[in-house]
Amino acid sequence: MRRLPLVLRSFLVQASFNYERMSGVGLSFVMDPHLRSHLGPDNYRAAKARANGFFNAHPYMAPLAAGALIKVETEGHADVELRRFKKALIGTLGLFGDRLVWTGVLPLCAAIALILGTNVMPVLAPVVFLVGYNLFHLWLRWWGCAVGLREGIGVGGYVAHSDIKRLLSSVGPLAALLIGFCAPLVADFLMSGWTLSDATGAVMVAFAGTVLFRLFPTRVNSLKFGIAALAVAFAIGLTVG
Amino acid sequence: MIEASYIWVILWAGLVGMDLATAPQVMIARPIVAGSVTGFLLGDFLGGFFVGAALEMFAFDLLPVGASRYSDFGVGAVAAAVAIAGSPTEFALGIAVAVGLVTAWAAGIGIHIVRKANTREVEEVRLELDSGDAAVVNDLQLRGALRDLSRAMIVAVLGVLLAATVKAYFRPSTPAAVTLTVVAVGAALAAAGSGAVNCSGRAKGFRMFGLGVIGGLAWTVLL
Repeated sequence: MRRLPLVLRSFLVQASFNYERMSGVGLSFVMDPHLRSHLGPDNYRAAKARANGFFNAHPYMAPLAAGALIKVETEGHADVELRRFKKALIGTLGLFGDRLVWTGVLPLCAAIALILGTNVMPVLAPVVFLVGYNLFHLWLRWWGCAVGLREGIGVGGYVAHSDIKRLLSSVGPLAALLIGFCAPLVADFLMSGWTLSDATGAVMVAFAGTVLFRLFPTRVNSLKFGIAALAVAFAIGLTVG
Repeated sequence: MIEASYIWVILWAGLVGMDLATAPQVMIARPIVAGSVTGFLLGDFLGGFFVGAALEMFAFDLLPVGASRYSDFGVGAVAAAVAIAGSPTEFALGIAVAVGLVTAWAAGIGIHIVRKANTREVEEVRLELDSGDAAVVNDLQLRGALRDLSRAMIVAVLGVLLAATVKAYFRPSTPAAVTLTVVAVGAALAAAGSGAVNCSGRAKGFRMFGLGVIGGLAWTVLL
C-alpha cells in the first residue's frame, strides 16, 4: 500500500478537532483513499462509519493508527473486534506520542536551539530547531505509517518492544537537563549588562513562581503567573513613575 | 511600507496559529520561530529573536494534549515581536512579553471557541457521520481548518493593535521598563522549571533541571 498519500493527509488529522469525536473525523479523512481503493462499496461505508467515531491520540501517531486500522479493515474482522482495536489504540498511542514528542523531543530541540541562538548566533536558533525537530517529526510519521500498514492488529505489541519505546525513558530527563542548562544562558543573554540587583530580582520572581506552581499546581500556570506578575510590576511602575 | 509589512505579519500569524493544533504541526508555532520570523518581516530579526527566546521559556510549560485548554504562544510571539520591533530590546522586552502573554491567552480562548463550533457542526451531521458519509468528512475538515485560520488571523490583528497601542501610548521611565523586563525574565525562568517537571516528573524533573541550571551557570560564569 502507498504510504505518501496517507502521510500527507495525516498532517490534517486535527483540522476538524472537536470535543465530541476529537480527531475521529480527521482520522477518517486520513484513511479514506486506502479504504476506498481496497474495500467494496458496502464495506467501505461500514469502515467509514467506524472511522468517523471517537479517536484521540497524538497527531504524529495518526499515520501509525491509520495504517494499522486500514490493515485490519481489509482483513475482514468482525465489527466488534474492529471497534475494540480502535479503542485500544487510543490509550497506547496517545500516551506514547505525548511522552515522546510533547515532553521529550520537542523541548529537547527547543532547548538546543536556545543554547545555540543565545551563545553562537541568533539565526541558528529557528533554523536548527525547524530542521532538527522536523527531521525527527517526518521520520516518525513515515515510520509509523510503515509499521501500522505492516503490523495491523499487532501494532501495539510491536511499538511496546521497539527501540523508539526505549527512547522514552531517556528523552524526558535529557530534555529537563537541557532546559535547566539553557535557562541561565537565556537569562544572561536577555539581561546582559544588567546589575546584580536586576539578576537578584529575576531570581526572586522565578522562586515565587516556582513556589506558586508547587502550592497550586492545578490553578496556577506559567501564563497566569506571567500576566499577574507583569500586571503587578506595571502597577508598581505607574505608581512609582 | 510599514502597513505592507503588517499584512505579511497577519498572514504569517494565520499560518502560525493553524500550525499549533490544526495543520501541519511543523512547529513554526514555537515562539523562537514565530518571533524571529516576525522580527525579520519587520526588519528587526534580533528583536524578534529576543522576545521569541523569552516566550519560548514560557512555552516549555505548554502541553497541547487532546481536549485540554492551552494558550497559543505562537500568535502571542508574533504580537510580542511587533511590540519590540524597532525599540531598544533590553527596555522593551518586559512590555513585549506582556503583550505576547495576553495575546497568547486570547488566542487560547479562540482555540476553545473554534473547537466548540466544530463540535456543534459535528453534532448537526451526526447521522451522516454514523452512516459512513465521506463527503461530509471533507466538508468538516475544510471548514474546521478555515475556522482556525480565521481565529489566528483575528487574534493576530488584535495582538498587533495592542502592540501598536502600547508602543504609541506607554512610554515608561527607564526604571519601570527595567522592572518589567526583570519580572518577565524571572517569570520565564519559573515557567522553564515547570516545563522541566512536565518532561520527567516532579522529583526527577526538578533534579535534572537543577543539574542543568548548575551546568548552565558554570558555563555562563566561566565562558
